[in-house]
Amino acid sequence: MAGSVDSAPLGGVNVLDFTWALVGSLSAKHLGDYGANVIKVESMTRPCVSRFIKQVSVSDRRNPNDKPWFANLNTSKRSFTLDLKHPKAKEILRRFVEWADVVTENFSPGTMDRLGLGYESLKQIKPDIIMASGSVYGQTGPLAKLPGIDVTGAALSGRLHLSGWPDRVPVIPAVPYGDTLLPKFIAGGVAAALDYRRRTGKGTHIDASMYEVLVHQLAYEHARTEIEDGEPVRTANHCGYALFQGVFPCAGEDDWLAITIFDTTDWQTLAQTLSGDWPMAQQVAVMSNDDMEALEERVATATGAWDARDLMNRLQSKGVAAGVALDIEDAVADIQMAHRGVLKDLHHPELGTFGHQETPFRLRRTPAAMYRAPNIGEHTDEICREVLGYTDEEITALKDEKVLA
Amino acid sequence: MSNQLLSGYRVLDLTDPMGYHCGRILASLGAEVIKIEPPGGDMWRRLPHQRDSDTQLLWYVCNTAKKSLTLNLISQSGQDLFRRLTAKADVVVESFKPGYLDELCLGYEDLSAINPALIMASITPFGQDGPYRELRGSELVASALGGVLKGIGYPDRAPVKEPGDACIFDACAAAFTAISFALFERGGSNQGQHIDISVQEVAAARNTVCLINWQFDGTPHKRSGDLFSNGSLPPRRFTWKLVDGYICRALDGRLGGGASANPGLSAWMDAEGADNPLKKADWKTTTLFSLDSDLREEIDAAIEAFFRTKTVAEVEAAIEKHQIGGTLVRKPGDAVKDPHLQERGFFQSFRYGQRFLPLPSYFIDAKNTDRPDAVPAPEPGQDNADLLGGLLGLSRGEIEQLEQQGVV
Repeated sequence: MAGSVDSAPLGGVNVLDFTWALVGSLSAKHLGDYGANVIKVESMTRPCVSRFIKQVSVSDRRNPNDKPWFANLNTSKRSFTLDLKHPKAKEILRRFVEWADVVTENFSPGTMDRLGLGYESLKQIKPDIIMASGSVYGQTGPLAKLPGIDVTGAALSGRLHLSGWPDRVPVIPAVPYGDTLLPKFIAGGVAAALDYRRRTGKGTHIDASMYEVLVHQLAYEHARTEIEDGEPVRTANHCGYALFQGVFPCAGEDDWLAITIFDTTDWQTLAQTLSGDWPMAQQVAVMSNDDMEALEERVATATGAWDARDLMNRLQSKGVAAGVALDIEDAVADIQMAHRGVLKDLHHPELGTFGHQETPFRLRRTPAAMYRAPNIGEHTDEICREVLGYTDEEITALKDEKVLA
Repeated sequence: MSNQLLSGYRVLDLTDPMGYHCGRILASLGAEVIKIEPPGGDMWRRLPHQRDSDTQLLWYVCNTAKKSLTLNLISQSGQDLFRRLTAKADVVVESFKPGYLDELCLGYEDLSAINPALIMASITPFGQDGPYRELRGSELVASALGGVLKGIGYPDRAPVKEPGDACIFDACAAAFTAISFALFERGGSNQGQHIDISVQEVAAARNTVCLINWQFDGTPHKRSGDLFSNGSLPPRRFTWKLVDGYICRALDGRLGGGASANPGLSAWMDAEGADNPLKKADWKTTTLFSLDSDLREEIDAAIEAFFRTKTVAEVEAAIEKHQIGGTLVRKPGDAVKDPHLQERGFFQSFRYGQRFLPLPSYFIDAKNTDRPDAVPAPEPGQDNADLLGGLLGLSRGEIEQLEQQGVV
C-alpha cells in the first residue's frame, strides 16, 4: 500500500556474523539495520581492532565498549563471545549453523576452512546455507591468501595511481572507498541469494573481492588503456563528459566551489555570472591543455571575489551544477541532509546519546530500524538460552571452562 | 534461462550517467535489463566534449549486457507502451530530475497502481525531496556537498576529486543493495516500493572517522597532500616514489595490524648497503605511533631516499625475496595482465566494433550459479522487435506505424 510503512525487509533472516573491521562490520550492519537477526560472534581472545583503536579522547585504549567508530559500524547486531578454537566451541557452532540462514565473514581466505566452518562443512549441517565471504583478493587465485586493507585495493585496481594531480604524488583520501563499496555488494548479494533460495531452494557461497569491484568502478579507464597509446594520467578535477569542470576558490579561507559545466548553455551562464570577456563555448570545447589551465586560472580569479554559497545559489538558480565543498560536519548539518536526516540519535551506554550515521539505502515502505551497537558479549546469555537452547547450568559451565570468552 | 541469483527478473532502465552502473550490476547477476532510449539513441552514446579519446567507449562500458528499446516517453503513445511494459516488469531504475516522471504520469504512484509489486529505484544527486530537490548535480558537485571532496588533496591547492565517477558508482551499488532487499521483501509481501538514493548521502555515509572526530573532540580534518590522515591520528606516509612508479606501504610495515614487514625491508636495505635506521627499533613491539618522533622522521627520510632509487621491477622482486611488504601502485591496464585475475576468470572478451575488449565481468561470484556472458552493449532499438512484438504482442504493421510517428 503506497504511503504505509511496514517492518524491515529482512525480518526473520538469521545471520551468523563472523565479520570484523570495516568491510565486514558494514556488510552485517546493512543486513541488521534492515531487520535481519544478526549475531556477531566475537572473542576477547582475538578482539576486533575496531573495538580498541583509540580515535577520540573520551575512549580508553583498553575498553572494548567505548569506541564511536565501532558504534557506527556495528548497529543492529547482538554480540556473543565464543573462543572459536576451544574444543567445546564446535557444538555451539553446529547449533548456530542450524539456526542461521546466512553466515558472513571476511577473514583471510582459508581461515573458515581451518575453523571447520568452510562452505562445504556448513552445507553438511545446512544444505541451503548462504555464505558470504569478503576479502581484498577473493577466495581463489594465486594471491588469495594475502591480507589487505582499503588502500591495498586502491593500489591494485589503478585507483591510487589515478588519484590527485598529474604533477604530484598521488593522494589517498581520508575517506575510505573500497572498504565501504564492497559491503554494498556483500549485503546486496546476500539479499539476492536469499531471494534465489526462496525461488530455487538452493543456497550459495558469495565471493566478493574488493580488488574486483574497484576495477569495475574504473572499467572505462582500464578500457582506454586497451585502445589508446600512452600512459594513463591523473586528471585532477576534469571530467571527460563535461565541457568544463573544476574546483574554484571563493572569498573565505579554504572556501571552494565545485562547478560542472555540461554544455553551451551552462557555459554562457557561468560567463555572464562572472562577467568579463570570456571565450565562447565552442572555443572551450577544443582548447589545448595550456589554454585550459590559463582559463581555469582566470575563472579562479573571478570566483575569488564571491562568497561560495552566494555563487552556488546564483549558478544553481540558472540550472548550473555548482556545490560548495563542505567538511563532513557542515555537510550533515547542511539544509538538504538536515532535512533528509542522515544522523539518528541513539543512546550508547558508555558514550551517551549521539548521532549515528544512517545507512543511505532509503527503502520508503520498509525503512531501516537501527539500534545501537552491542557491548562485547552483551547478549551471550540470552542467545545461549533463546537461540542455542542451553540451560542456566550449562551456560555457567561453558563460562567456567572459558568457552564463552 | 540462466541459473543466476537474479535470473527471471525484468528491469526497465531509464538512467543517464548517474545511474547506468546499477543496471550493469543487475544484468551481471542474470536480470534482463532493458535500456529505454529516445528514438535515435541515448544522447550520451557519443560524448560531446571528449577531447582525447573514443567518444563512444564510455557509454559502451557502462551499458554492456543490456537490451535496448527506443521509446519516445514525451508522446502519449510512448507513455502508454511504457505502462504496458511496466505491468510485465519487476524493477524500474531511473535517474531523472525528481518530479519529471510524475509529470509524465510515469512516477512511482502511477506505475505502482498498474503493478503493485513494482520496485522503482531513483538515483539522483540529492534525493527525491528537500530544498535541493531541484538542484543540478554531478559527480563533483555531489562529492563536494557530501563532505568528501574538501578533505582530499594538498593544502596549497584546491581539493581534488576521486578518479572516475566514484560517488556515482557507489550510489549505483547502494541502489543494487536496496533493490535486492526490496526483491526479497516482495517475495513475502507481494508489494513493491520506491527506493530513493541520493549520491550526496551515500558519499557522506563513508566519512565516519572524520565525523566522530568532530562530534567528540571538535577536531577538524585538513587536507594532507601525499600523507594519509583522518581524524586525530597524525598524518602518515603510505605512498613512496620509485624511479618509475610508486609503492604503497605503511612506514612501520604493518597492514592494519599484524606483524611488521620492516625486518624484511631492513634486510634488503642492508643488502644494498643503504643507510638503515630501521635497525634502531624492535619491530615486534614498535608501531607507527609508538615510535619516537625523531626516529620516525629519520626512518621516513631513509626509506624515502632508498625507494627513490629503486624501480618497480626491483621492488617486485624484493617483495618476494625479502618479504618487504607493501603493494605496488598498479596502473589501469595492469589488472588485465594479472595472473590472479586471469585465474579467477574476471576479465572477459567483449566485441566492440571491429575489435574485442577485455572488460571486467562479474561483480560478485556466487558458487553453483552461472557466470555472466560477455554480452556487448546494445545498438539503439536493437531489441524493439522482440520487446514490442514478442513481449507486448504488437504486429509488424503496428510497430512500423509507431516508427513513422516517432514513438519508437
